Amino acid sequence: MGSSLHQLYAEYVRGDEAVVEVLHDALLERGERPFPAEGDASVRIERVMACLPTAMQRAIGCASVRRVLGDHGRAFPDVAQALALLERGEPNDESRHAVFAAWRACSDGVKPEAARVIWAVWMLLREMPSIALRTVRMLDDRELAIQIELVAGALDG
Amino acid sequence: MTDEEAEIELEVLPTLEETDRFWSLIEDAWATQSDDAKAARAALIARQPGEELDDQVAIVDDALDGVMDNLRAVFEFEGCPQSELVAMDRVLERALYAIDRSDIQAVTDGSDDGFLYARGFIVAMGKAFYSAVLLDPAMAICDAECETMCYLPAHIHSDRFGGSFPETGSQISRESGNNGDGWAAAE
Repeated sequence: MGSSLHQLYAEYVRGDEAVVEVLHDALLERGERPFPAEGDASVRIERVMACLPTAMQRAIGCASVRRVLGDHGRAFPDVAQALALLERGEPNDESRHAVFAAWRACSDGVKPEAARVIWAVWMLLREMPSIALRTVRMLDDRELAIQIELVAGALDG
Repeated sequence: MTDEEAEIELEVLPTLEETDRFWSLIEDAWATQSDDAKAARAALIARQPGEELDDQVAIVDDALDGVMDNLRAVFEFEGCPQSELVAMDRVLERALYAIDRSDIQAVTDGSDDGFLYARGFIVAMGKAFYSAVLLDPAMAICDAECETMCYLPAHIHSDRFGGSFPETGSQISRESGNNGDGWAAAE
């Protein structure tokens, strides 16, 4: 993926309307399916995430989830450890099982914020970083702007 | 037939990533069960083909309620998107379809619904057990059933998203006797 395409993706995620047509043509030139015209900021993030290398998606997802883990997941050391392992590129089945067990312990609605954060970590471990980002946005609308900069910043590189 | 119609009729297969996610989900659902349940499950996976371990089967059968509760909680959670429910149902129906075979039914017993539920048990036991049965039907267990597994994501999809089962695009049915290749030898 060329750096110019990265730049177009970054501007697209930031909501630059002028880049939509340029990106459309760039994707067509590369034989890739262009993005539909419509779509809010969340949709743009998910479209671009789907085009990024797996490692970059994971790094963005981890950065976003880590921001909220301290506030809502402090009581779950296994979850923090699992995220740390993933950030180091050392995820394993045991830590994923532990995160799932932690999620089940609060998935009955008693601790909705904790359930969402732990779910987001579990989604990262299940290699679904876009769903992790979506879950973080459910915690706090303000995370959307931060995620836009996380994605665009990673592309600016 | 228009190009659009032709596209609609293409068989949609689960991706490798979706299939991996399905089996890892089953493993996570088992991970919170008791040590006895996990040991019984491991014994059933590791046993000799045809070996009967009734005590372990009973323990596993009891534990399956907890496994299904875990899966239900995942599929019902607000963070589980519709697309993932559809993907998991597509993997599930393909897994059930692949073991819709006369040689496996000869071991599990059960007609129509009973054999579907027997296949539900095989899937609910996880990838290792499922793969063992796929290779050697004698690894299956007579009369062991898990009805809930068979349509769990489909039912929850129906509850959450307006009354319809997922459109998986698979062009197959998980109901018993639909895998022609699996039953050809019996005819």
